Amino acid sequence: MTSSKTIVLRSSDGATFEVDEAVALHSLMIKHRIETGGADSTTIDVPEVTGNTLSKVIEYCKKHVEAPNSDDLKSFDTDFVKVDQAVLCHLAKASYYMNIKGLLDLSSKTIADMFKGKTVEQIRETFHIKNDFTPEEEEELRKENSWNLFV
Amino acid sequence: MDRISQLPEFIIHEILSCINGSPTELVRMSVLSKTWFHLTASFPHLYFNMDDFKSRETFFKYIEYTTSRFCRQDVVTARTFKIVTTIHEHAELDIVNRCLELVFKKGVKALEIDITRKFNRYRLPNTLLSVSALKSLTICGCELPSSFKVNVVKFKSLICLKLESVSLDDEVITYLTASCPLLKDFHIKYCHGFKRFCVYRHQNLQKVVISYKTRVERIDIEAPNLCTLGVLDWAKRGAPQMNLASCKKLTFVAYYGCPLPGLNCFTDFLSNFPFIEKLLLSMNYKCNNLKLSSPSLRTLLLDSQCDLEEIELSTPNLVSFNYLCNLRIRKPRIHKPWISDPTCLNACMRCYPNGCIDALWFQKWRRFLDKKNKFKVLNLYVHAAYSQKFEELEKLKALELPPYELEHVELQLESHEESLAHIAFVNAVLWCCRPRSLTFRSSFSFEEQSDVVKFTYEKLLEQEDQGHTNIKIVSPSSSLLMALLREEKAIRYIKEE
Repeated sequence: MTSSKTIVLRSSDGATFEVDEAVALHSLMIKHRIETGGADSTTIDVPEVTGNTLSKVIEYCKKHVEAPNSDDLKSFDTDFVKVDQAVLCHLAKASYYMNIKGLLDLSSKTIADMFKGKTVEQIRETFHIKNDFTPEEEEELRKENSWNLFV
Repeated sequence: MDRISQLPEFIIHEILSCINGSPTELVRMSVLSKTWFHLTASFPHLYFNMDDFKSRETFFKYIEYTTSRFCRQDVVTARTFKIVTTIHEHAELDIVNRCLELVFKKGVKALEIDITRKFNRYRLPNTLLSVSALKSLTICGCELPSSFKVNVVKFKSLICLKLESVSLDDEVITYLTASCPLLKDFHIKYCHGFKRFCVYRHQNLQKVVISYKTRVERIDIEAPNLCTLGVLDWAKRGAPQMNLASCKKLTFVAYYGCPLPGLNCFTDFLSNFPFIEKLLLSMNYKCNNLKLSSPSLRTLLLDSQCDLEEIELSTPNLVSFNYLCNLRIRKPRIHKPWISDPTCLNACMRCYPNGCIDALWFQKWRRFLDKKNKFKVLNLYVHAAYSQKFEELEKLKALELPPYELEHVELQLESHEESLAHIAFVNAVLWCCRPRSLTFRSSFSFEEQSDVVKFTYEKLLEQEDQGHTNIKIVSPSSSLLMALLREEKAIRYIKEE
């Protein structure tokens, strides 16, 4: 029978989550901590991630560990990232710190898709990016990139 | 609030990697703000493909601009540099040379250069040989640097090397492998100029694939850690002489071509690999006599038009035999055995016959089973396009041999709807063998009361006159099974006391 050992993960804001060890090991960072931490590693701190985000990350890991071959995995992933920009960025950062490649790829691709097909102005607006070039610098860029119009 | 720009650089680069196929989008990212300009400038994966551009002039300007901007950054090395292009004129040649020199000086880990040039092949700059950070190198259509044999090659970190359409001679191959002590993966494809492939005393080499159109006379490899060898002879001039006796870990060999004609051609061929465990033999011609003998072989994948009658296997440890018959229609889905199925430990034969499946085929199959192969599990996969032949299976009733005893039979019939052909198919299979359990998979769902389900049940019952008189049908609707099954279009019969 599968081992039912559980691990407790603690977020930056003190929230704790009890998860099956198999689910926790989906994060290579946690796997490393467990392997090098010795027998007492039943509670693991994840100070880079808040409770809200950690709860979502755990949801992702659970699905991918418990039903990796299910037909609805793809639709799960698609729905999982239907969140606002803030949450998406938090997920990307958490997956990076916790070393969960699948989630990092998923969030990166989702953000990348949000850039596609938009003009520079539209991108700035969508992501609230401030244009901090001086008019001279912009002109310089425009000249260098004028060939961009022919791509 | 601008959260995206605050993300760690690594994540931004992951995002840019998703956009890397589109130069326009990448350029757009670089003009968003100063932060984004630097993020794009230091993006360490540089990818240039002629196909993404409408104008050659723009393409070459883009290569020059992006590469020089990258090399001006504080970044230590490039992670990837890939260029796929043709060169038509001198100005273009200059730009490519300049950019490659810049990148080589900066350092790069994974390099892929695919350059086609009219009349004169492109010759790589000599500075390539000093890129000591290189871990992966792929060259297609170019000539190696002119100082190649004069200057010492410094590929101390190279792990993966692939050469396609590069002119090589025997010495170059030996010298190259000797200069790359960490090399694990070496692949040469359509290279010309060499007759012998010789590698001596290489500690780290694990995988070698040689794919060629001109005749290769000899393959000589001394590599104690070599585990995979692929020999793809597109010219089909007969297998080269081989010396791999010292490769004690060589367990997987793939061969495409045709060994020299002769009675014992395959036996001799296999004797080159005394430790082989898995063999993929692919021959695009009708072989009249296939005798394979190997005490260590465990898995055999045979892709040829060879008849079952012509095959003789002296392979006492064979656990899995995949008989592929040049299946062209589509790649068969090879199902993994059921998790709790103990029969997956037994010797298993998987057949993917093409259109030749008729009564004669079943007879040959039945006779093949009698040869000393001891298969206990059979898997027969048939594409529905061939099902019109099934009506002829009535002729099978004249079979003299008793049904072959088996642990388990798995049938997969690719078809969209049930038909009489399915019944004829099951009938033919059950004339040939008597399994203790049977699984029937198809693209359509099984109804409990369907004709084929009932027929199969009755036929299985008919086979048993004593002992196992109870047949349990495990169908997708059983909840016990849902946990084990990944697909629901299968039905299983198990004979029990």
